[in-house]
Amino acid sequence: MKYDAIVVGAGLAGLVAAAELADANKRVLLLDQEPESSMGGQAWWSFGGLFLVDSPEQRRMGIKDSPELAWQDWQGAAGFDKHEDEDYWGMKWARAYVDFAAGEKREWLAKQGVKFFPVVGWAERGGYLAEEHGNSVPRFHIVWGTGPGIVKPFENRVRESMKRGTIIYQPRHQVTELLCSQGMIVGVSGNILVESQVNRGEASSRDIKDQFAYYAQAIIITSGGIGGNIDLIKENWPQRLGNPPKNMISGVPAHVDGKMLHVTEKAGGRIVNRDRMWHYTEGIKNWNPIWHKHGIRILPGPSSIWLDATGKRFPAPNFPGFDTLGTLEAIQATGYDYSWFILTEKIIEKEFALSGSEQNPDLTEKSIKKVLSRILPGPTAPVKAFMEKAKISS
Amino acid sequence: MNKLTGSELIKLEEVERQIKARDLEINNSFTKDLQITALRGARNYIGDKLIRVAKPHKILDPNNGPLIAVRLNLLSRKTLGGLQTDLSCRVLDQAGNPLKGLYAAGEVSGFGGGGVHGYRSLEGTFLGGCLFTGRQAGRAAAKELM
Ligand SMILES: Cc1cc2nc3c(=O)[nH]c(=O)nc-3n(C[C@H](O)[C@H](O)[C@H](O)COP(=O)(O)OP(=O)(O)OC[C@H]3O[C@@H](n4cnc5c(N)ncnc54)[C@H](O)[C@@H]3O)c2cc1C
Repeated sequence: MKYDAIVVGAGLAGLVAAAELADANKRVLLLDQEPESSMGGQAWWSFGGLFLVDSPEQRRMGIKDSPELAWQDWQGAAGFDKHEDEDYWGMKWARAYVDFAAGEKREWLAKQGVKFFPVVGWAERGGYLAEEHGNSVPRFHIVWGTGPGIVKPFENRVRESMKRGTIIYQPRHQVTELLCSQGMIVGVSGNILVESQVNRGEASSRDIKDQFAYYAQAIIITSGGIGGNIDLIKENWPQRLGNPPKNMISGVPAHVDGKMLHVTEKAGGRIVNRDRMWHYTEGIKNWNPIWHKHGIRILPGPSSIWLDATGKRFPAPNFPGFDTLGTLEAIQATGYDYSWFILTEKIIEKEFALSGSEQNPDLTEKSIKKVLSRILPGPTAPVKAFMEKAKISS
Repeated sequence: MNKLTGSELIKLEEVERQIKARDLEINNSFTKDLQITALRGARNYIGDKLIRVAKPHKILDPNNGPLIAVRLNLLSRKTLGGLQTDLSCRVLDQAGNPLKGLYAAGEVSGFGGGGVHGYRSLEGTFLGGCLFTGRQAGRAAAKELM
């Protein structure tokens, strides 16, 4: 056989899996439907915030964290309620992940050159009791260089292996079927899409040039979620959050189409917890869109007054940055799919950050001078651009 | 605000009343308004005090700059459920048995097990979930291939 393993999707998860396989001297075929310009997937666009527990950055800021506290918070946030069934493996992964975040994670990344911004952010503050949702302490560690900074080391490892010939990377290969034989998954087949010159994150053509089929002993699916597929979101929308919203803007590129989930299900894989999703309530339309309905999330500090569409202040603890899902539920209960922040110039200056690598050029470009200017009066340049060009009324 | 939405949903007096009420709660260093208590609590964390949480002030005091309203939309992002996998990232079938030869990692596997987050996330957990499951999938598959 030509390949030992096939990895479907060259996002962060796929790059890491491929790099690890190549390090173990396996021959890997790495497939992705997008052109090479989009290598790294969503992670490249991300803000690069990483959950770490009891890190040196936290300690330097006077934060006392521990695996016990983090596990308490994780369970409070998760609210696992299908212990013997759909949550069975998720809970085991959660326990292992909290230990990873409190242990090996930081050093493993540090060895690969990943550094962090010294001020640890406090996301999902909760606002309930100790055993309920929320981070008891700040844990959001921003990678120096944001999303591209977390992709880079793994992309480098993959490119090194490409040079050595242990990883073959084939962009524009869209997997549409998993091939089974005698109860085993033995390969993948699909469409070779026409060449595309689009820039990173832009939708690429789905026109088909040819077909392919490849075989290997191990197939690893790393194709991402459904966040770019509004139809799938609506189809799986949980009843507890009311009717699916009429209007949503898109926080992810179009390649996050979720189609591989169905492909894998057809081959016998089980999908669980379909109705659990993590959408944001503080989206603004990008005045300079890269993908269809491109929205940006405001990462809000806690001071803005939050009103529903009819002008009524949301009850506690639906404050900015406290409980994303709880506030989404409160918004959905109003029957409208939007809400309002009212704030002052003093608040916007200090408290408005925008999620995503391209909205934080100072951190993404690793410019200490520009980062320091955040302490000065005035909003960051990207926030200012939104104030001028987007529909923020004052 | 009404111009932006083309509706008459927002009543100025209503909004003003609520913010005035909130501003009245600023005068003491203690208050019953939980949002203000939360602001003060957050500023005990040096990181928030430095770059994240404004000093609590009266929203309607003109010294604090013009008022700003931002319309917030719902924004799609992450999938918390997905392919159910065991701790070796092997994809499981309906009966809970691994499908031979098939692994999954990252968001498609709900960042591990088909739902490592349960219903809610503590944030910053997604990239790390890709790193952790991607690494495990690569290592587990490599071991199986020995
Ligand atoms: C703007 C933004 C900000 C974010 N900020 C953070 C943050 O601060 N912290 C955090 O933890 N997370 C953050 N996230 C989330 C995080 O980036 C993603 O959850 C994560 O990168 C998903 O990685 P993945 O490898 O699982 O999937 P993806 O990045 O979606 O990659 C999947 C790849 O598979 C390919 N593919 C899909 N289907 C097929 C097919 N059928 N055939 C071939 N190829 C296919 C796709 O083209 C894509 O390249 C953010 C996301 C965005 C968009």
